[in-house]
Amino acid sequence: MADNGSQQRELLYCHACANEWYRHQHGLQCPSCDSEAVEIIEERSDPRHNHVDISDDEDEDTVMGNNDDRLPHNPLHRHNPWRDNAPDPDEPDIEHVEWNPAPGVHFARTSFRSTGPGMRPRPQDPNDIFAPLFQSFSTILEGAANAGRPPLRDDPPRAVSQIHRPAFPARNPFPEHQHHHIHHHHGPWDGQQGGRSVFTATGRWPPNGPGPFPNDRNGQNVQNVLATLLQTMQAGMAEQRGQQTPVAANLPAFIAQMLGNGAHGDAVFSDEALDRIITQMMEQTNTNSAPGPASAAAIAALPKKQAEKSMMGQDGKAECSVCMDGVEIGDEVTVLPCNHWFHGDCVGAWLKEHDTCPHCRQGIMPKDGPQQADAPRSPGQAPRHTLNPFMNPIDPNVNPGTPPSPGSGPNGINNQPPMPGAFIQPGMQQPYVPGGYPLYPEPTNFVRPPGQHQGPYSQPPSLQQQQRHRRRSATSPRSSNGGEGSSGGGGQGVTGWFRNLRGGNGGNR
Amino acid sequence: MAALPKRIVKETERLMAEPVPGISAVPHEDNLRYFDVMIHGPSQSPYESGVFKLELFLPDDYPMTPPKIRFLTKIYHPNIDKLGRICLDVLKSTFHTPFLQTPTRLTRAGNWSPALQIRTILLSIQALLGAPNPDDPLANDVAQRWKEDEQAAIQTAREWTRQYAKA
Repeated sequence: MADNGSQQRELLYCHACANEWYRHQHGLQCPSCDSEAVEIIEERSDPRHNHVDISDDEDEDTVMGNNDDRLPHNPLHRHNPWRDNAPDPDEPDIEHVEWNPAPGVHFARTSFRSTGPGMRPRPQDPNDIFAPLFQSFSTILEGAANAGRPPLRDDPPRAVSQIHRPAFPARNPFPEHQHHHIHHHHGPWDGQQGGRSVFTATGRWPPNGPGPFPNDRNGQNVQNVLATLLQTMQAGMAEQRGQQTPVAANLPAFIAQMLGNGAHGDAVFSDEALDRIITQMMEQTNTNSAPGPASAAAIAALPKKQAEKSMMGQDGKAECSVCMDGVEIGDEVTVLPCNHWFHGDCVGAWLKEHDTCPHCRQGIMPKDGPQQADAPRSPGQAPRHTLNPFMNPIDPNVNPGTPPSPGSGPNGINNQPPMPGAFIQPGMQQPYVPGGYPLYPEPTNFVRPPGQHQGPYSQPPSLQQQQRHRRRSATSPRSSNGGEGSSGGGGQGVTGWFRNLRGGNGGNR
Repeated sequence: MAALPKRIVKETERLMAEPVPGISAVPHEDNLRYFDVMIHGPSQSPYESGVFKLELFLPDDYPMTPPKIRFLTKIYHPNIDKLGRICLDVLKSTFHTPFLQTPTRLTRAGNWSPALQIRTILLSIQALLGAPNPDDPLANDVAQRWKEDEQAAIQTAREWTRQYAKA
């Protein structure tokens, strides 16, 4: 011991270069390396003990040369990197380090040189040494760096754990013969998610210049330190890439795994994450692009009706266009707000996935959105498309959604019979659809009642905008051909598009 | 396999009884949901006089989901990729699933409807041959060429038709 009982002659110890000097001679800054990471050596707190663990009455070289047998379980001894430089390798008592971390939080930082003048290479198996090192070492430098700052428990350890959540390899991934800073952080989150150790490699470490510790003294919080560590770690990994660090080679995937879902903020690291984000984006906008399912209550509330003669085709036959089964007069069918009818089960199976009429794509949900009501649109509430004579025949003159049809005739909109889903007439290759909704996109036999000419799409723009079934891009030639007024009848984009493509005359029929 | 839905039986019968001109669809005997399809290239298109083979499969939940269709004959078309997949809105279900399963992630929502049929879908595909849409591409390289030099692209499409889509 250098100065036991000599309180007036304080002996200082430099943690950067292991120099020792008397305070009254050189002050509080290391005369050798100008580091401020110094500590007054006291009897109960001797920082030199952090570095060596040998008996104080033995010669250092002797101890180092033969104590493997005597101290086989002391890794500190075997891996003392300061062995050759330590001027006073006294018996350590590391329990007396006065840096007192916050309860539940332990922040230890251990630094040593693996190479240097007169130094042995670092030991081959760092695992043997790190664990006891981290358990026992708590350098006063960290205390100095943290002096005057709030206790560590005021720092958000969760943020720290987020950065370092997956455990890095418990081995030092860096090769020998470099200057190393080994940082080990563990805290209350260790027990939950496994320990995490961060090994960083940087290029320099005193004695030739000031180390990072003095520079860190003004660090405001542990996050800054850890952020720096992460950057340093990544830089070190980049340097090591291609040598021996699989973590570095798979860094993007590793980060993705580390962040759990492959996405962090706006950054994504995997195709799955990208798909997920795109899904989110699409779902966020789907009210404008595509309808979701109709509610079960709305489907159940759809009006039912017995098929009647006016719903049949010219040959007296009709069929549900979902199942293609024939519908006879008297059969019960479900009628959508757009007047298209189907078997209840058939259209229900579709509506529960897509709130669109299979023929015209008009939805059954209230136009204000499914969150507002579970009931289908009532005629007075949202006659967005056309009249519904089943439910409540409405004078079109008082119906804001359906302007008076200039061409209203016997088959016009004012006295339009219920529109069947489809008619297939024997002898006709193409179906005849009285309501103006062809099953097949063939222009030749397509017939639309004159009153339907302007169709439901001559509605005010505000209502048109709310027609979710018209969801195709306005920039698409298909949709502009098929969905707009030229096709009119029913808004079957394919149909109208096809009509225009095939003959160019279908839309004017 | 579960019993074939009546609708599929009816559709098949009608396809046989009233074939669409320029289109044929014949189900496999051992799998009535799988069809061999032939589509004649539309006249006045680069695919004129070509006969294109496709495969069509009706999924279990058809007609709630669209048929799966793919070109088997090689074709140079901006909306058909080199695997024969077709970018056509009516071949896709609505927004939930399809765009993540298709090569083009952000194509617009599908427009399949259970009121559509095999017949209408095949007609739509035939129409697509007559009206390539490079603004909604599936084969990006083809679409780009189509935009940059349409005449050259059409010429290539003709050559491919001559070479691969022999009657």
